Amino acid sequence: MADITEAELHKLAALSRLRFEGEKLAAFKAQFASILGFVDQLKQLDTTDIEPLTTTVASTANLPSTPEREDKVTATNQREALQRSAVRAEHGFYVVPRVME
Amino acid sequence: MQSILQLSATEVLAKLRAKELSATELAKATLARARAVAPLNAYLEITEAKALEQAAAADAAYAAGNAGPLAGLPLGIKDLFCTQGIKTTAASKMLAPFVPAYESTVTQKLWAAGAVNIGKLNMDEFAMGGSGENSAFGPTLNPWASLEKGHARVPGGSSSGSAAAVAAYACFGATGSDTGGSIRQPASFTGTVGIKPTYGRCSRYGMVAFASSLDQAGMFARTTQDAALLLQTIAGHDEKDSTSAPLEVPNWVADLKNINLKGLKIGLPKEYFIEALNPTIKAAVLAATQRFAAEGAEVVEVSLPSTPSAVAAYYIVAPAEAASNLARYDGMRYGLRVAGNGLIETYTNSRSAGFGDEVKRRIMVGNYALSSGYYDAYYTKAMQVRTLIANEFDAVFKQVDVLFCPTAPSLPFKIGAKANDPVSLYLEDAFTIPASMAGLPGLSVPCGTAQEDGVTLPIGLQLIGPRWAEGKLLQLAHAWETMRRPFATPFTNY
Repeated sequence: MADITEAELHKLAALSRLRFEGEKLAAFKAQFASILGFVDQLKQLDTTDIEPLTTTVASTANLPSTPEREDKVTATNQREALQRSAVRAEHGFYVVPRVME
Repeated sequence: MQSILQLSATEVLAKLRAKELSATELAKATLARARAVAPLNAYLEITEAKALEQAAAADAAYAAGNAGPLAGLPLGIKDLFCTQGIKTTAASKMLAPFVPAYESTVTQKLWAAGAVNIGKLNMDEFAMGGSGENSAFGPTLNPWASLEKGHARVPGGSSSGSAAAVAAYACFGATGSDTGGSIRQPASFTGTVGIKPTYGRCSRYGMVAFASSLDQAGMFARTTQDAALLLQTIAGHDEKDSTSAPLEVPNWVADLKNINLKGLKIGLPKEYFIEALNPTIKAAVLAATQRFAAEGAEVVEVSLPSTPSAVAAYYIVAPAEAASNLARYDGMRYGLRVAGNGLIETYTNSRSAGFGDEVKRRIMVGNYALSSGYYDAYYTKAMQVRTLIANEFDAVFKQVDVLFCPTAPSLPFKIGAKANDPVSLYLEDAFTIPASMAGLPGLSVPCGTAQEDGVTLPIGLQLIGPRWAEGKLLQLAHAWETMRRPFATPFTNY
């Protein structure tokens, strides 16, 4: 393993909504291979029947279950405040590039 | 004012309470120092108006007799904690224009206690890095070394600005976040105290997300007592973050001296004393441990066999979570937008222009590890290794009370030394990642200095404890500060 073709890299980049071109592509391909080569060492480890640990919250022994807050409205209508960070907003809507022709 | 700036947070708060000093005078002096250390590139923004407003409120509170525990204390904030009305960039071009509409819980608690915001601190972009060099706004430099090209050294990362600003007396404490060592390693590299509490001790609400199952807020300070004071202010359950634990926050400051070293069991994990460890660091850590033995502590060697696999597992888990978390940056609702031909091209243009190289690498590695066909081989495998790491810590903490080990395998290195080799930089986190993977608290406290190329550089001792044992770590680090030779970071006029 630790080898990735340029075609695979382009597919992964497209799915990640990223673009790599020219010299950047060559450098990236080498670094990506080196990272995969490094993490491949895990394959040597025997993890048969070991449960994956997805969070350390559940394993924080003796804690009550995840607390639930009361189902009530706390902060209403933040639209104006939030849209102040918008790249482009008009009439309370986000303006995005054309999606359909 | 230099002598005031060099006081600890605890000492300067005593002066404020005694009205020997006003919060406004102190804020002005700290702001001037923050501007004077500009060559370090620790502050991305100095929030002077906010600082003076908060300082005036602190002075009024002292006059009225209702001042909070941190009233008038100048702090710096890592630029991934959302601050309402103040730019929060995570040191990324992607968020360069972002002004949050809300405040993070951690900073909200600090302001409620009366603290003063001196400014927002530089970091590795989205907290991805171990040197501070991955900031879109230029690297932060280590105040211990010359700032000249070819001599300048890294302050560690990702909380690079936090560590450098505290070490350079440009604030009395700073927030940090630690995903795989981002508080402890820069604390070690700058001769400051840095604590990453147990996962769930602090709320992550309003922190720019990197890897949500690992991210945890913590504090930098120049003394352990200050770190205890600051941590007990920001800790606690928050209904806005369901992963924050519903536990009482102890008064760690009051308990600081409440420890008996006789019979205390200290474990030295043998996997942390490897060949790659700088021998001067090894000697300093062992010497500190011997001092505890001389005070009656029992020192035993223990083993955490999966330690050598932790970095590899982390560099699957963290990028996988990062790839998902950073999918939100699409240039539509906030952040950078670079227009393209249609929606998809606009996404791609915005993300390609907005993210730096390391962030792109991690998104790609993360999406690769999560893709069908590779998911079990990489992601599931890494999560299984995480179980092994956590189980080994659990077993070891049945034998010992605390682990002593180096915080980092090497001294602060020169700017650019590891810039072209991601994996060599990843290995800098080899001693901090395991505790992060298990969600355990860790603290770095200065334990000596070393000479390299004629420069004096600090060494950090890392204390790792079982879950919720922050109090013990703080007690032991405080005890260490009373045993060691006097230690202070240099005060340099730039």
